[in-house]
Amino acid sequence: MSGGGILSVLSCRAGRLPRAALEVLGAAQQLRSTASSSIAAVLVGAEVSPVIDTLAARGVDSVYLFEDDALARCTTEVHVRAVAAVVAEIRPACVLLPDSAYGRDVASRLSARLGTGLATGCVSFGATASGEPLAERTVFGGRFVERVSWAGVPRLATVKSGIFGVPHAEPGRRATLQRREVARDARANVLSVEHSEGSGSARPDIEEARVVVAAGRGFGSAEKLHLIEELADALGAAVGASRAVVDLGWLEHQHQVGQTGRSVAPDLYIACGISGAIQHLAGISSAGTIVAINRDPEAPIFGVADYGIVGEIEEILPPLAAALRERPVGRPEAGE
Amino acid sequence: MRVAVCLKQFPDDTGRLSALEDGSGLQEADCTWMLSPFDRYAVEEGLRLRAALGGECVAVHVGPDHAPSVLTEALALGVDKAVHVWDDAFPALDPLATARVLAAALRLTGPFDMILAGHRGVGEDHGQMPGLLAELLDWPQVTLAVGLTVEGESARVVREVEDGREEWRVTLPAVISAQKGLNEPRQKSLKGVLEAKRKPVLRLALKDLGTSLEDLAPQLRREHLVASPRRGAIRRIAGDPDAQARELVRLLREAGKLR
Amino acid sequence: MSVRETLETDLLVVGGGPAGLATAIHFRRCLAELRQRRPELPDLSVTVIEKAREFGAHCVSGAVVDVEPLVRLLPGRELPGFAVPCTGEQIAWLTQTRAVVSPWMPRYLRQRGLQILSVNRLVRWLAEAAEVEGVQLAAGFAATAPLIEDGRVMGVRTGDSGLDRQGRPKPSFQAGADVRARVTVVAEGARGSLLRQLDDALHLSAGRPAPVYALGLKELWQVERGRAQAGQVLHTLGYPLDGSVYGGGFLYGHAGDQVSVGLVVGLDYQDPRLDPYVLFQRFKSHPRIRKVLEGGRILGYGARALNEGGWYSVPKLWGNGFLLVGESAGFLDTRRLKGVHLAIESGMLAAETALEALSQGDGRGDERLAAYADRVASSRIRQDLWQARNARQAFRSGRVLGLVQTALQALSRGRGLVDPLAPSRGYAEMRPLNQLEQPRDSASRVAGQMDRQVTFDRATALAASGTNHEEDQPPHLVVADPEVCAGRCRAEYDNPCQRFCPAGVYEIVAEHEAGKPRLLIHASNCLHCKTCEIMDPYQIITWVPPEAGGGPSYEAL
Repeated sequence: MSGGGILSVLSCRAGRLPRAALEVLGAAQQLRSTASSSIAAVLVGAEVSPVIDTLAARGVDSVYLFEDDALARCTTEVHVRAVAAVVAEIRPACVLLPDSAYGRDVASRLSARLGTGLATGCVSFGATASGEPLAERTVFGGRFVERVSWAGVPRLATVKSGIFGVPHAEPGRRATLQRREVARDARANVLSVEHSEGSGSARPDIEEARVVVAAGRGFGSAEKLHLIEELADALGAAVGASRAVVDLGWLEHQHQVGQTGRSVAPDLYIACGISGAIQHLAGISSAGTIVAINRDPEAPIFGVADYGIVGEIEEILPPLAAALRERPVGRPEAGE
Repeated sequence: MRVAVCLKQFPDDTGRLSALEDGSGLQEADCTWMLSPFDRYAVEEGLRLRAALGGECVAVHVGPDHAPSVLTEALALGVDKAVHVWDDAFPALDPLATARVLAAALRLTGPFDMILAGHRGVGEDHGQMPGLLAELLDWPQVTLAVGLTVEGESARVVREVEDGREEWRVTLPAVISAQKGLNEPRQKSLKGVLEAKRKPVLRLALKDLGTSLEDLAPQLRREHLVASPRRGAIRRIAGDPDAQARELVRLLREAGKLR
Repeated sequence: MSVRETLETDLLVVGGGPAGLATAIHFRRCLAELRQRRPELPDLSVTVIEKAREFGAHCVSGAVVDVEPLVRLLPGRELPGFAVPCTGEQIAWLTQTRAVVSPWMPRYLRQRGLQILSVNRLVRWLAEAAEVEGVQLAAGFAATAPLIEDGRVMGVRTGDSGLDRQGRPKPSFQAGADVRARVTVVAEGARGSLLRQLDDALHLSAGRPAPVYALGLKELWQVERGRAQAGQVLHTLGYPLDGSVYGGGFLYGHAGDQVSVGLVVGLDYQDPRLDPYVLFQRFKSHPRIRKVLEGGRILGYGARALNEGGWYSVPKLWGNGFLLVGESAGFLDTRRLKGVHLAIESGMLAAETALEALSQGDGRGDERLAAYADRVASSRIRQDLWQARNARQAFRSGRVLGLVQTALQALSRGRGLVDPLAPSRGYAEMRPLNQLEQPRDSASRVAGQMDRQVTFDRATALAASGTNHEEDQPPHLVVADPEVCAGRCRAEYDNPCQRFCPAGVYEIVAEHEAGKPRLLIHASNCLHCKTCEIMDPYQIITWVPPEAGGGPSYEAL
């Protein structure tokens, strides 16, 4: 592999690649110094070969595969050793991983093993005037942006989800395949794994959800809250609330978003019937995209929202939920 | 059982933090320093393990002295002793260097059966410490723990990941990081606060650690830190409710906000 | 799961402001000296409990301070770096558009040479000094009730934590502790909740007129270079307060292009539609003030009630097992507009008294506490407050008469025309809506839009106070009969709590379904100023300490 090569460390389960993995490939394309730098991928687990074609189609030049049923029951240390072996072999300039539980686990151990720096949660990549790679990450609840550089190679980074695009698919593109093996570690093993699929009956917690829809006083009464619940179901979202709603007893306090409630940083925040007092805004300052729906065109929330709809909650929410339902959301995709 | 809890402190951000003009970091002068919320779960778990299995719970912190100190707070919650590692000669410590300092301090004050930490520090939010420490100590690690049971020489840990839950078993010693939901942290008691002053605090400097300054040279460098850019102008969507709804969905889909 | 613990200390100080910390520091220093002369004396422990999460976090004041007692408290120590000596001062009369500077200033109002500082910072500085002296500091603990046995104060009980909104224990429940002390010093500031309970049980204010209070609102600003000068002091009368409302504004210049700007409003106004917060915004938009603030940035906002009762309302200062210091004792000089020096002075006198009581060991400790009243009577506290004994009361009949009476009092060492002059009745001066004359300009015009440059809505200002409370806890503002709010008060006074609370805690909402209005209490906005308990026309609001650690988080205010 020539200098400037990028190694992507990806995980997949039961033969399906999550979208986050494809976003890592998108980030790799942004990071590589020239269009001819190669992109390699390493996969460690059981049932990983089904995704090789997808990876090839999305721009990966070579795939390093550690495939064994036993690897599904292996903990991080084994994955790290596998990746380290590939790194020693191909000496990439950068190693990218998704900013997931898996990605951070592997990346941080790798950082200590290789003695090079790791930037987590990167939202963009760039370069200095002299071509040194740079990464940007948000800190302090999204209020600040930090730009970092690395002192040595390989440069390690985890890529924040929902930020980078997915590379276009070129069907028929080929990648070289290298199969490898790694020894297990007797000290640790995975006993059991349970997954929850898609938008099920249990709604996510507001601080962990990717999408939060929040209800304010504009709903008028507790009875009308079913509108927000339908919207949440259509999005697989968590339900938040302004303090007024909690004080009025319409929702429990764990839904409360705001300075004295909880701070949330979802990719998408939809504020319905919330006027936008500063204490509420303090709780959503790090939200990715903010949508505001309110009948009052002068409501302060429109001052911070990215998209705004002036209208009545009862008239906007049902067609919105319907339009969202036209395409189900929340399941991991094998590709598009 | 000897448990060490690694603590991180961060400046309280009730929205009043600001960046320094030269972009080198945050304005830290009048800040109130707090214990990272995820570390509270770690401290609580350490105290519960001590209550159930006997032994000792030690709090360790790498960082300059800020008042009120997170170590004092941990001692007030019930931790037996504290280890404060700092040397003004330290360069700006990146996560790897901090981990090296911590690992040296832990080796010095060990042996420990378990090391607990919050799964990420609120603030700079690197989230690397558990993995870095585990690799440096050559121990297994389990992150994002929401359930923990010690069974003799090993621990059974339930962790919460993006798409569900996993149950892992690791032999001890191990590094385990705490996620919200692991336990309900206790409040400090007045008695605890008053007794905290009498508990031992071991102070370690560079010369005690057996590490050299070269080992601590940063691998990850901060080039600058600025306030996040303000949002762009709002895009108002007009039309009748049906049209507005459809347009919004279209725009969100284009922006990749819908999955 | 949680057992109530009992702790013991020799001297307990409730409240970590200037008075409380001065008491603690002076006690330990005097004890050290005493033990040098009498080495057989055992060490005595001093514990200060403070409801804020950190010392200083709930302290807010102007302030221009007479630091003479501070220098005696900690001799040889340099004044804290943040103190700036006053080098220039003005008193101005404001109309809506103009500021007329007074050509003459009475001697007692001269500020030159005094120190402009942040009481918040002063308290942090004192707390550090206290630690050095071996004082046990415990922040994040509130005294919720006194421990009284046979008429003797035995200490206090601290608050429980970990109760939910309905008062049920959560898994993190922790019962408060009983702190037993041989002497308890009450240093809660104006309108303390512990003092209220002591007063009820031991009748400390029997035979004295109820004190009148004022509400002080204040902001700290970072202004553009050149707009303000460090060391400059401005006090104002007039706009936005009309002749019937006591109070005035202030603007002080700190180092580093920072200014303190504030308004004090007497809590004995007649018009229930008056909104002190709105008046403060109007004050800031006066051209004389606006030109300083424009282009600047708000750093902090805070509010606190002031005890303006004066000498005649000072309660009984001591009893078996306790002493009162600072504003808890009513020590505020309303003539000179100062209290911090009296707080420190009283703390030192209380410390000396307590040390005598605790170090003799002959069982006559309680009797010795009586000496505190004598010490105060022969100190400058009495001297200053005696001169000012009728100062606030003079304004009961309005500003003009007030100023005339003040002049007469100055000439007669505080006696004036009538001595004692009857004080106003505080909340009882508020008139029902149907008894008001046509609205007068300044007091009752409805608040206009805020410009968000110099004036802000409450919610925005509140963000600068850093106030925060655990949401899931029992409400700490106890309204004895909420039916009164929705019914009588709405009709008679239009729920003035919505206006006199500087934090927007109280809100009356019209319910859509029942059609009946309802009182919403946004308890987590609370700034712990105590105005609601003072000013509520039916006196049905009681402020109790919330779960400790909650409240404002003032910085440099």
